[in-house]
Amino acid sequence: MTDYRSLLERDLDLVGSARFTFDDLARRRDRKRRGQRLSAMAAALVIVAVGVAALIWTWGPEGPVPADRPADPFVGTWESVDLDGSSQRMTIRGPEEGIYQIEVVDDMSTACGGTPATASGTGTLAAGTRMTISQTYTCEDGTVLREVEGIRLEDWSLVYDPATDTLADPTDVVWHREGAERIPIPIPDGATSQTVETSLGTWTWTWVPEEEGASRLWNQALQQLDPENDFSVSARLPQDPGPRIAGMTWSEWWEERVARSSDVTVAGVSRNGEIDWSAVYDLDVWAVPRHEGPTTVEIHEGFLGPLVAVLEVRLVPGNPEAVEFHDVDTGEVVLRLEATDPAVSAEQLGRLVHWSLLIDEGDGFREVLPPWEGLPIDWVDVAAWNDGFVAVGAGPADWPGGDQTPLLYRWASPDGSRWNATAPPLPLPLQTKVETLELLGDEARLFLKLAGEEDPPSLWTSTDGVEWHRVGVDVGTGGFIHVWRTGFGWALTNMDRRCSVWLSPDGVAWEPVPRELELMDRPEVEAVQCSVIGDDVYAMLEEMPPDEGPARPLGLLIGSLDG
Amino acid sequence: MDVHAQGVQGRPDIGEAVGSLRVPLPFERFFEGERDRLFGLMCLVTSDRHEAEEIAQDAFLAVWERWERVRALDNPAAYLTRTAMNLFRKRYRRAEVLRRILPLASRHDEEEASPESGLMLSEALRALTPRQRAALVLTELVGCSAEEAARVLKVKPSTIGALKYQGRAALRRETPTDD
Repeated sequence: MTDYRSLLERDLDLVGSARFTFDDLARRRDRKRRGQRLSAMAAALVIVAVGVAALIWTWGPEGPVPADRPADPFVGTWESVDLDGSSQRMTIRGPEEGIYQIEVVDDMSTACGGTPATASGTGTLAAGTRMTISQTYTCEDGTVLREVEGIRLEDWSLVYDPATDTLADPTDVVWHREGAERIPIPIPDGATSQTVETSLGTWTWTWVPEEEGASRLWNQALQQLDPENDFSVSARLPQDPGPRIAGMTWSEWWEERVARSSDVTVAGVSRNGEIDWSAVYDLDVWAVPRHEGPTTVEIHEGFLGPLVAVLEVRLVPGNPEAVEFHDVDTGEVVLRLEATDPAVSAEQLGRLVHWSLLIDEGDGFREVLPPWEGLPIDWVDVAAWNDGFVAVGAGPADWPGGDQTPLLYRWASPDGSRWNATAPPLPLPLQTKVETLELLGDEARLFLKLAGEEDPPSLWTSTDGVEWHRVGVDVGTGGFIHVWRTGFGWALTNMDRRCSVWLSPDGVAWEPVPRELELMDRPEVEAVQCSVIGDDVYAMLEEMPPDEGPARPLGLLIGSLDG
Repeated sequence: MDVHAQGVQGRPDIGEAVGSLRVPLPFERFFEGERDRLFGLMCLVTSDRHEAEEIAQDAFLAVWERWERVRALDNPAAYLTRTAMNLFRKRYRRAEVLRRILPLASRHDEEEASPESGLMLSEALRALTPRQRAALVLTELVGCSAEEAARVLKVKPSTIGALKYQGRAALRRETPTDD
């Protein structure tokens, strides 16, 4: 095993000494102080200008104050994102005898070394739009600071901008009124809704158009799914042109979220105690498909790396086993994958979907050799099962040349590290290829979507991998099924053009949820995301252009069971 | 939990030494003792000499402004390291925003600018992303736990784990003989 510390220390020796001296640092400090003085002067001028403009706006004949604002514009709860990216919340109360009470909470203060901080103090109006503040800034460890960002806290102030209903502080951070620009919850009554009677109760489809903030509602719903903003997604090329680039990744605040308009579906991460399981693709580049006219993928450097390029995926005319990736700006072919190319054999295409297992034991991830390493399978799933884990895989691999009988592989592990095959590979019920595998650990239930050259796609379920029952659901061609455990029982979604939905009280008997909304009759409307969050089904819809051109977000379709 | 900056390559940790002796430490002495260590760490993280100097100097300035309070800490060096990492994080975020605005142009600029940085890092380390390097430097060199590194970089501990895993995998690929 590589000694990583030695390797880093070797590089540290290559770096050499710093060139800057203490005198350089002193000069830098002087320059910074001069800059701060100039900034303060400029800010004072701006404050005067804003104050004059605000007075004209407030008292002028053409400047009525909106009715939904409080009589005193400073009073209320405000939110901001600090210069260091942290979230701040401020409450201003009063005034009583001209004195306002101010409380601020910062979830991460750079001045406090990255710990949370609070500030409290009092404010008085210095002019119509400016409040001077005297406050105490306290770090989590009790340390009291006298200045933040080089500005003395006793000189703190807030300037109200009536045009935008915002506050600005001396660090140029803008504070927005809490709840501003947020769409109300519960979901507003859309222009279109539909009620459907099911055996489980009354099901309501609600349509929230984009102009009513559908995307924002979707984001809020995702926050419900994963309040720590640490969700995982699985991504798949929409047109599946042979070699697949797909997988799961995490996204958190540092990274731009995976584009919600892309063809990705939200998936959960199985959890059991301190151990988190996930599967990631072992690719040097990470591709996230997205819809913008033709099929495009975003290429990222590594697992969570920055965006490198956007490539267009094109099938090669006359060669169904080849696919090309073009630079969208130059049109240049930057990658070509072809099954018949000796340099990129069918086996190598299969390696594009190599899975590895990571195990997080609370002190970082450790790689575990997956039990399916080297096997010709292309579907794997891992789940917590009783007191341990179970993994299943199915194949043959779905790349050119795969012509073996479909088999189901099963492994079990007590701790996530040691794995044993629980039985020899089992033949699957049909001589077909596996299109989706879903393993629900808590329920000890396995779902397989199978499809053959002659047979239409079908859905099968089993609790032991031996005895299989066909699920009476017409999943259709294309799309990817997901089975969800809900408060009312089970939901099954098929990520197809329409985000088809079925409900079940027991996971065995299923009934489709019809949908007759007017917008669903439009052929250009497609669901690009389909997820169950809580007990509600969410489908993000887009309008697909008739020819090349960007897809347009349309809105959100939400299905929920009354009661 | 605080980040504990540890001396690199056996160099005594100035912060701890001062903490144990409780001798008032002039900032200039602290600067002279920590300059190369911090600069080296930042070089590993940024892989750019100029960027490393900028961050290191800004970190020293931030500490200097609060020196009366910082020097009373048990480990001023840890505070300095954490400040530098915060600055790196902020600069990296800002660069990422710019990169997204001008994705390809900025990439080409960076590729062209890279040789000018004059930094002789190994190919293995260059193969890592800045975040992977930051995670490895914090955990392998500075001696942070995953939780401590996560607090410094403002990510979840599991993300540190993932970054370390990716970084190590990349190092293994680039240094096969060391396996």
